[in-house]
Amino acid sequence: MPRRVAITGLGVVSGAGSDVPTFWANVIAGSSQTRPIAQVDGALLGRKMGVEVQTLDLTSLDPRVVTSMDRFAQFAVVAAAEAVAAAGLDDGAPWGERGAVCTGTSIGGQTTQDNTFRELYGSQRQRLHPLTLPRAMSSAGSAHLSMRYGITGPSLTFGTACAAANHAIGHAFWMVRQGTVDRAIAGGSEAPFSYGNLKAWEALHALSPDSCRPFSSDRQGTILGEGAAMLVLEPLDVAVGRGAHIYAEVVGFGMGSDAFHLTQPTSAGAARAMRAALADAALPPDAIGYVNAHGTGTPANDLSESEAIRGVFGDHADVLPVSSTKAVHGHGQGATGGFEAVATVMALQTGALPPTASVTHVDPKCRILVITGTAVCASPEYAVSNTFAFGGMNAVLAFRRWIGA
Amino acid sequence: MRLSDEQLLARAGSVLHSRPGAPAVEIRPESTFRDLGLDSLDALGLMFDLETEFGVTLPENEATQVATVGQLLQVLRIAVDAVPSNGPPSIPSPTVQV
Repeated sequence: MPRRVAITGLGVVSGAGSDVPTFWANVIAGSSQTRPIAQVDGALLGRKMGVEVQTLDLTSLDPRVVTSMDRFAQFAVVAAAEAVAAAGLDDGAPWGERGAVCTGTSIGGQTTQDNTFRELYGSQRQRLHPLTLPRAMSSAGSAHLSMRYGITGPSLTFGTACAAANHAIGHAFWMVRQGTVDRAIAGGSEAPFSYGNLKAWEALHALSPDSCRPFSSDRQGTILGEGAAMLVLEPLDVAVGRGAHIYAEVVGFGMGSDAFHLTQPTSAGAARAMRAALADAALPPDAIGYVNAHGTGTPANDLSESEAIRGVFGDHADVLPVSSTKAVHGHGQGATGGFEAVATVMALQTGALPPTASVTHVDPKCRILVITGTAVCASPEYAVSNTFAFGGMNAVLAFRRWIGA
Repeated sequence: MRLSDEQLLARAGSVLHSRPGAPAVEIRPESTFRDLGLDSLDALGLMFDLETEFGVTLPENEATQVATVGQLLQVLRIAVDAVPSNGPPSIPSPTVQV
């Protein structure tokens, strides 16, 4: 019999705050943390704005381990530490083979590659640092977490671009629900502010010159954000039995692919993933009381996503609050589903739905109820969080407010 | 000017001590990498750091064979002495950001 799945830990490292309370305070206030990018010389960039992590406390980690990690893996470990501590599971006991870790990332250790390969291709050096590969590999985040917590069960990394964290959380959810494992760390991490990656984004003409304004008539593209967000999942009965704080339940996961275009989204594909999540949760569309949208602030995504929401929810979309929190924390790519899972869970727990920051005027072609300005007080029982990726990979999570067993 | 053995040991020791998590122990020629808490991957990383410090390229086969500081200094001595007197080409720090 499938088990109900509780979220007992949350952790965040982001440009909008390096812990959950700070992150949530900025998200609920709609306080965009977009700033000029500091990690790369702005004179070399055509798109100069981003949401960079301001505080990264690595002092609790073994310095030798720290230097063996790319920035994206450091984010993963620090965010997981907050989540595991919040769950009360940081007692040092190994999680063993009944534990799992699932992480998502789009580009893994590209900062390491960017720095080291530049020397190599410039013929300044003929040999790379021996840790180049272990630092750069996309699975480094989950590998470090498995070692830190003695997780000898599944250790998986999802590389599905901007949907990676939702794929990671969704698969961890399924493993806990069906009894494959008894405990999981799941989320995503990303460190996109390397010179090569930023120039690659510029070449796509998908970045905004100033700010991310999801669903706004004058939106000009997205703004990248770095960091990580991790959740601790465990069977609800176990969590209740040990007296753990329960933030919310994960109740559904749906995924699919557009099978259409590398970068151009389809509303049909997004709708399929949302319907799959609802079916997995055995919920009718009108049970959903909040949608945390993918809402990248690009002309293509926001129109396509709003059409998909309208298609899935029909007339219920007239009263269904939708917001994108990306204007605050940036588009975290492989981490973004994690950021938005935390935002959605906090919205359910606190009864406050975050606004879509920086919107000047909602695009009339986006026929959905976009929360703008300030947060909305509401206590929906269920919410969904969308992520849609280049390559047409779509992943949607459904959450339930914790109202007791 | 040719580095003396003492200068070579002092500079190599400084590189060793500057590695994150390096044990605060005296570094002597007879010290083994194991004594210094270095596994095989750490030893390769140390070679890389020494190449940066001295502006040399250590021979790969020999570099992977050494197990003591003394052996390391021998390999390093040959590489350092082979550098022209007008100095090695500049190698930028591997952590430099664009």
